[in-house]
Amino acid sequence: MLDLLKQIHDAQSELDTALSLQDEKVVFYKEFFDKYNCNSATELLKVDTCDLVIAALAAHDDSLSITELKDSIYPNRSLIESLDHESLEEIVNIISNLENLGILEVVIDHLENGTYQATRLRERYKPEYSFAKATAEVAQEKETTPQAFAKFLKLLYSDTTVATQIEDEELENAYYLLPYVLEYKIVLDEFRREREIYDGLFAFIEDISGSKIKSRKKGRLIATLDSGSGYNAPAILKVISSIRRYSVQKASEEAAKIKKETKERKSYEDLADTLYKALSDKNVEAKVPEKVVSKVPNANIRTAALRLIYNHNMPLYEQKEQEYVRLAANDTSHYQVLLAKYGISPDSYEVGTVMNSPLADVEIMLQTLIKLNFDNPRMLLGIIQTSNLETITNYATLVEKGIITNALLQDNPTVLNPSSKDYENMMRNLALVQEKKINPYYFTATEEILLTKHQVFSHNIETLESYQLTQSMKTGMDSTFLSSPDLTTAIDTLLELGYEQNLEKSIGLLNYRDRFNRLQLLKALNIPVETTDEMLTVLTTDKFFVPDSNIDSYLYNAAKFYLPSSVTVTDEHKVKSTDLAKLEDFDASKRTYEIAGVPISKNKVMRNLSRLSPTGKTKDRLIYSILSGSTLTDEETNKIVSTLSDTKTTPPVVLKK
Amino acid sequence: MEYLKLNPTTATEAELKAAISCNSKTFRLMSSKVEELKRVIAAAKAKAKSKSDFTATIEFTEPPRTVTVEINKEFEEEVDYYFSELNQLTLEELESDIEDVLPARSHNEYERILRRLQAELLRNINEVREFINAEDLSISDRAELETDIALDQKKILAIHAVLHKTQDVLTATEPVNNDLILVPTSGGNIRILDEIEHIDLSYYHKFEGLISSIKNGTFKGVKKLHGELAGLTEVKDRPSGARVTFMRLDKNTYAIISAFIKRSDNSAGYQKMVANSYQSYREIEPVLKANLSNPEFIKLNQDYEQELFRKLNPTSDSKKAPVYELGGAK
Repeated sequence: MLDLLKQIHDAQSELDTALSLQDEKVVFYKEFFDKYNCNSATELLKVDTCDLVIAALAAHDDSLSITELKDSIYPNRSLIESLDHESLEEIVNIISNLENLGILEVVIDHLENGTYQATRLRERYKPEYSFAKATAEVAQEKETTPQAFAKFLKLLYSDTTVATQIEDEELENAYYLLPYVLEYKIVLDEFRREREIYDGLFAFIEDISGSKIKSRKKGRLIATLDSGSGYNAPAILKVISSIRRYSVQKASEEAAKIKKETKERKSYEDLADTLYKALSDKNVEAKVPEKVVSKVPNANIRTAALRLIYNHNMPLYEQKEQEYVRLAANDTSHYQVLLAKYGISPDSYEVGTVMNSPLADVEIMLQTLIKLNFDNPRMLLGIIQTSNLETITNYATLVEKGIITNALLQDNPTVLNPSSKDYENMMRNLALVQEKKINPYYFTATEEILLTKHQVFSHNIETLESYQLTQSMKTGMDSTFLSSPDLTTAIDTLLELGYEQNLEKSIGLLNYRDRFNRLQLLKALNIPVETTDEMLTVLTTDKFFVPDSNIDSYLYNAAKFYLPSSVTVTDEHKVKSTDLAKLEDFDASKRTYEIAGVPISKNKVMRNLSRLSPTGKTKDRLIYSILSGSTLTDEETNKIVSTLSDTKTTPPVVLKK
Repeated sequence: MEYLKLNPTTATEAELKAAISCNSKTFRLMSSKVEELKRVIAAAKAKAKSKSDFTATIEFTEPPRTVTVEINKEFEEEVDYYFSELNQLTLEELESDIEDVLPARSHNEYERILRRLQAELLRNINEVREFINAEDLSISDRAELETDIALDQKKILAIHAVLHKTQDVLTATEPVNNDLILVPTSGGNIRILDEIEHIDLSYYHKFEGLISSIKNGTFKGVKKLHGELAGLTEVKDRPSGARVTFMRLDKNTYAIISAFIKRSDNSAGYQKMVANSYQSYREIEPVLKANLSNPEFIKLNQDYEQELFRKLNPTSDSKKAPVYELGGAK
């Protein structure tokens, strides 16, 4: 753009220069008519002979420059003013002779350069010097300088050269300018002379009559006299008229030239302005009207401008082409064609939802889903409406690795929706499994568990960790229990019923946590259940002798009557190790104490203790923590309290109503 | 719809002019197409967005939880019957009569019923204990309640003992063979024999089974009736609607009151008919009880019993009521 602007600037500068130079003829004629008001005879009398000759000659031959004429005429004023037919013939002869001798140009050069002084040797060996000298003498005779006379001759001579190239008629009339010079001079001389005669005559008449002759009468009288004497008075007017016509023509030509150049200059301005605006924003197509470019006279500038426009627009065009190709490839019809391949006939709304994914992605999504055994068109549509390629690919990888199965996805298609809760839970649960270094294949038998609300899943994994039970998890286990809102009560129940070993070996027992009260009832009835198989029989039978919904009404818990009322339940806080020191002697296993033969969950005690205000008697807080959450008989409770108190108590120790 | 591409450095003015003009037209056309495509796509997407309540059609299914066993009404009715009988046992009767108030060992829910009876006793005990712990009681009241607890605990232990009888003891025990008294009408006819006459033959084997279950102590589908029928019991074959009402007269003698077909428990006609027969029985009950030690009365009833079984099972050669040995023993 900068290069083009420079070119435009240069072109404008050239035009500016041209516009600043006025035509010399126009200037000359303006000055001429300013100086000589040729509207009256009086004014005509003021016209200088040389000025008239120059003006007339310049008008007569358009090729003659004013400068050249001035240089040739003004220095020869005496010659011009004294020019008559005799001197005219003399000059013609000089030119003719010199030309015939072939030395005209050399002689003119000598005269111009002042080297016309002939020496003896020059005269002998270079005759042109003699002619030059003789010509110089003629010039002096005619009261002009050799240099000026040379210019006059040169004007006449060069004119003949020009004339020979024009017309035959003019060829015969060699040095034709010279007669014109004489003619113009004579016309003026005669006009002046006639005016002098008439003026004398009018003065004489006025003198005799004693009264002034009116101008109008003078005019009529002059016309009568001219007619009588055969003088062609209007000749001077014809010359002046031809000069005026020519000056008007030159002025008109000059005006036309200025107009043209001004127009050209404006075309450059227009191009520069238009290009500047059109190319200012690379994101907008440059639109330059063809006439703006075509008006520019400089072809190089036109081409450069077009090149700029082309280069500006092409990136934009290519960008639009890419957008078109992309959109055309992703338009509704393309989606419909693709979906139809999979037996899906979506309505316009459904197509819209699918179009949130690029067409190429949708195709891969569908291919992947087919591999995952999704074959129901409505199901496929539902998934691609809400899922994306990354999600589906991730699940395909999980299936490929055997961590989950197709069935899980088919039964729970919302898991494929990244904005669904199922998706979030599944991903966060798997991340937790990875973080805790738990074998992901532990969940393959009950893979739906991975969809459990993450907060619950995470809480249960942490619970198992706190009970050191994560190592009891194994491949193929029924891990449904992990969806329980809380496992602590269930684990505590099994531990306190004395089933720690059974739980450690068969963590799946937690799946029957809702029926652990059956075990509590059997214990209350002194019906022994010892092995895990026996437990499973009790927990799985549909013919347990008490309906599950009523079992709690058969259970008696004495513990609640022995809870010390002096303790205060408060916010959770950290338990001091010293608080538990008293229980060290009752340590039975890694998960239980055994107090007076009664197993008590360590975690439960710790948990309860952390919720009690650390004020008051440690013994009371311990008793509270041990009894709270347990199901115990009067006898068991009494023994626990007695053991911890080191004194026998009669139940209830403290009634809490 | 393609652009004219050329080398701008070497291209002539005319070529550039032609390319610019042609490409501009192509660009306009392409822009128009792009806008149209955008409109179509945006319209499709906007339509999709307008259904903001869209959710996938299939929702997440909760993991299966332990299925709670439904309460078995028939079982509960049987427990209700035996528990009412058990509650009537005094400490003195406990050892001798405990097995008379329990189902016969041949009952297919024998152990389950006994366990449940233990549980019911335990619930009684727990209820009393809760009461003792929760209320401020006098020593005498407390002692009385402790006595109740002790009795129930003994009953639990007694049932435990019954359940854990050794095989030798079981083998030596005779099977249950309850005596039946067929209740007469006020006119002197045996009600059940009259009623049987009016029942379709196809139901006879059902009634034979029901009466036999009273005889052998398994009491099929036994149920204590309540309300104005309180005290009355029935055995029933639920699918056919065959029912037999009866009352326990003494340790192992049962009065057979009435037999009929009724599928609904809540029919007003059924209630009225049973109430009438029960009322009739209540009027004659003292007489029946008084005659239980009368050998002639017993003999007469044995004849009625045989007649009843003959009617219910005409193909049987036996002229006596069947003696059931169903593997259980008292």
